[in-house]
Amino acid sequence: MSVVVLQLGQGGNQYGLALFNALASSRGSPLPCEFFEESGSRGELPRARALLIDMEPKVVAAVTRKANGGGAWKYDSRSCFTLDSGSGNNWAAGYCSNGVTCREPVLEQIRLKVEKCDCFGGFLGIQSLAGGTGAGFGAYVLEALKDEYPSACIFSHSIWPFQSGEVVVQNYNVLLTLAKLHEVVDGIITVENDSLVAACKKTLGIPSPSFVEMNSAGAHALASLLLPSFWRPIQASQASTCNSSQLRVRLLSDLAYALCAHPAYRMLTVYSTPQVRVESLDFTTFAWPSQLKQLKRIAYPVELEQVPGDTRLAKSVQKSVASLLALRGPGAGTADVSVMREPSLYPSWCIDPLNVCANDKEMIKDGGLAAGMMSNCQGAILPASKALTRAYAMFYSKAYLHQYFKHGLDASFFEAAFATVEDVCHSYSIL
Amino acid sequence: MKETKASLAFLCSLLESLGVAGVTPDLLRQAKSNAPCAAIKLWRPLHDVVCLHLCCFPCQEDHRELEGFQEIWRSSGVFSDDHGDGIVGFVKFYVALWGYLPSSRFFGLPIDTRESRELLLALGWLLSHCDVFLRGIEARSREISSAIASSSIAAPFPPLPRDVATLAGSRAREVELGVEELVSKVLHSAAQRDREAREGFLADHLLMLHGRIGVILKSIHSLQASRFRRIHELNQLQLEAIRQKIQHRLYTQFELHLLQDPEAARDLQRVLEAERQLRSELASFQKHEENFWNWMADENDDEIATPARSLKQEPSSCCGVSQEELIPVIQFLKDPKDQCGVSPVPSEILAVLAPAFTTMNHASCSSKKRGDDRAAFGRLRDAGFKYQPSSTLTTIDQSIQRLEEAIDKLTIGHKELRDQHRIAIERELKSFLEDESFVVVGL
Repeated sequence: MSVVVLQLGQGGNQYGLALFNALASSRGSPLPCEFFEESGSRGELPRARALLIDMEPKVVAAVTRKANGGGAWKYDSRSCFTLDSGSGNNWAAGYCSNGVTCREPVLEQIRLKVEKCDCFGGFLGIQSLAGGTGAGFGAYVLEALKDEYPSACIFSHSIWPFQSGEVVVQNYNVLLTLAKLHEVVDGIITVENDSLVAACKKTLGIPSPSFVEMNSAGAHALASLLLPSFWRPIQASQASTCNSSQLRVRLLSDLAYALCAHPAYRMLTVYSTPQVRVESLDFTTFAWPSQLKQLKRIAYPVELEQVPGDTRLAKSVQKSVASLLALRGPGAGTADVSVMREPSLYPSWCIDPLNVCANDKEMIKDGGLAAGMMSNCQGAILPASKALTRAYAMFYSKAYLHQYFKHGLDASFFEAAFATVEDVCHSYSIL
Repeated sequence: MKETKASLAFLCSLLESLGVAGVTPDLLRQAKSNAPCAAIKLWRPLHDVVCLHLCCFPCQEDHRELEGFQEIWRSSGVFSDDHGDGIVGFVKFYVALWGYLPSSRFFGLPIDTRESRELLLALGWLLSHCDVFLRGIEARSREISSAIASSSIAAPFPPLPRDVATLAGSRAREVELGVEELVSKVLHSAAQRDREAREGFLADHLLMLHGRIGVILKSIHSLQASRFRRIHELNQLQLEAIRQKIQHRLYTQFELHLLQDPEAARDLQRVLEAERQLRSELASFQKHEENFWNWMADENDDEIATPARSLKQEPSSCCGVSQEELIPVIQFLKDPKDQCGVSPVPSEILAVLAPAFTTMNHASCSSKKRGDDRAAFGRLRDAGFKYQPSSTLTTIDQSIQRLEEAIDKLTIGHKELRDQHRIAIERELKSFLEDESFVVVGL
């Protein structure tokens, strides 16, 4: 099931490049056909099933140049859509103005991409939540896709801005985007820049990680779940080595089925192991129990960070509505995953919340083991609570609202978006 | 002649494959010529066919039901005085129960009879009654059908490659099973909760179920759309190939699938071979069955036609058919008031009916008269009457004509009543004559 990736805005394009590199760097496996298409002529590199969209040509050109600089794959030079002027970090400019203007040419390019898929599996939009193009225009494009392809699964991979603030209106943009995405997509995979920095610093030993390194870390975690794998039973006694007779995980419908079936819970977070320095990989001993133990520690922290003014989440232990565990490496098909089945990790009403897929092929090095987890958990919405608090404060002081109003938004649009995100936060808080 | 020989051999092998032992072409031929030595050997096949019919013809692998009956045969033997009579009685009982001619001499034959023809006739009737040829076809086709069923090619053959055609279907089946399992778990878990918690629990799971079904429906819809698009692309490519004279005609998706997948092509070949074999077997069965019944009929004609003709040559020794024997017609004519409210028909009308029926000597009707082949043949057909097709149709036409003339002469003034009367008589006569077994042998 082929997936068309939409790289939206600056952050989306940079993260998309990292994701395709991660997908292509899997050891001993051909490029996954879900994300790469064979070129028509012999000797030409496979092309990413991606459409690069930005309102400025600079980032797209840079990303294309990097990808086409002699790697194992490349972007199709015709799969880019750019304009001459950006959205100015204004969600309304991206959603209301550029969206309407660019709808037809963008959808036409997407149609061409979809038609190249043997068996179309859905869209994965990669976007930042802070800016104008990725957030505003991205939300518009995904909404348009919902109308144009009603039977397609649509996932959004959304990058949370730094809490310290990248853009002054990022909280508005985040909440408006989240509210819109919650209406139109099947699942919202979130990754926090703060978490990526922390991971790079603590576990990868990078003192001041760049965006490239952060993107690479996040993309590897996502790739561990998106690379080909097969469903396996949860019970180790019923499991067997992975083979072709087992059902392959079909992107993206299987993810939606397993993780995002409940309409109130569509926020996903990705975790992965091992988190060690590249130079330390050769000296690392891999074993499934230790990998899973580390993954559990990362995915299910015992205490959440305290949120000022909102004590509900702080008192709760992070719980998950559903989780997808992907194991890669020798013995993945038979590894004991009971550590991830503890009832305390899930709400009492959940039935069979854990799903496991596996692939015996190594992802990182010979004999190396890797585990990834995509979880529909409370951790995914934690930054939203913070953003909501700040956005309400700005909204009541009417800060920067005129910039949005001049593109056609009004106060009720904001209020509705805030209410939607508040509902989502509330749903997660009572797990 | 060769065909008959082959058909007899075929019947014998068929009976053996069904579990009937001891029937050989020689035995059948001897029985046809009423050889005394063949009689004793025919009891066993008769018994076996009865047993098989009682067991509804079990398949080759499951003859356990039959073993009980055959054990009787093995343990006792037909020649045993004690059990032999029991077995013969058993055969006669079921043969009579299933409707064999009650007046047949077969029922009077002892175990050591020399009348092999009577037994052959009974066996023939039994084979016909039990549809042995049909059972044989079923047994032979069972094996071939299982070969077809084990093939990975579905029948009727799909018009599309398997991987595309079955994808949406298999996805739907997977989900159906998954949903069933989920629902049962939800209901089980809900039953263990108190009422307040149960409502929220069920609501959450209903929403999840709705979401999952929505995802699956979208997935299936997407798969179907992909399928249609690929079909379109295939056709476009083929049309282009035809235009460039690389290809001569437009292949169906299934043909293309076979060209692309040699294993599927071999599978299809196996299925077609099995189908062809099945059809060939069916034709063979039909031919052998026809030959067998022709052979049986030949026997009847040879042995029975002459006495029948001889009877016609001896009018003096024949007696006419009595009015009592003309069951419905006579009753009708005698009491027409019940039918159409007219007065009784004069005896002159009854008189014109008489030539329509062949008469027969009562002495020749005796079923106990040894060597009376004609009577045996009559019993094969029906209990009471033998229709003489040579002259009767003409005679009946003449009779009806004369009957009409007679009616016309009557003083029944009302034309409508007269027509009703005439139609009723014609109908009754025709229904009576439609039965092939008409008059010859009185009851």
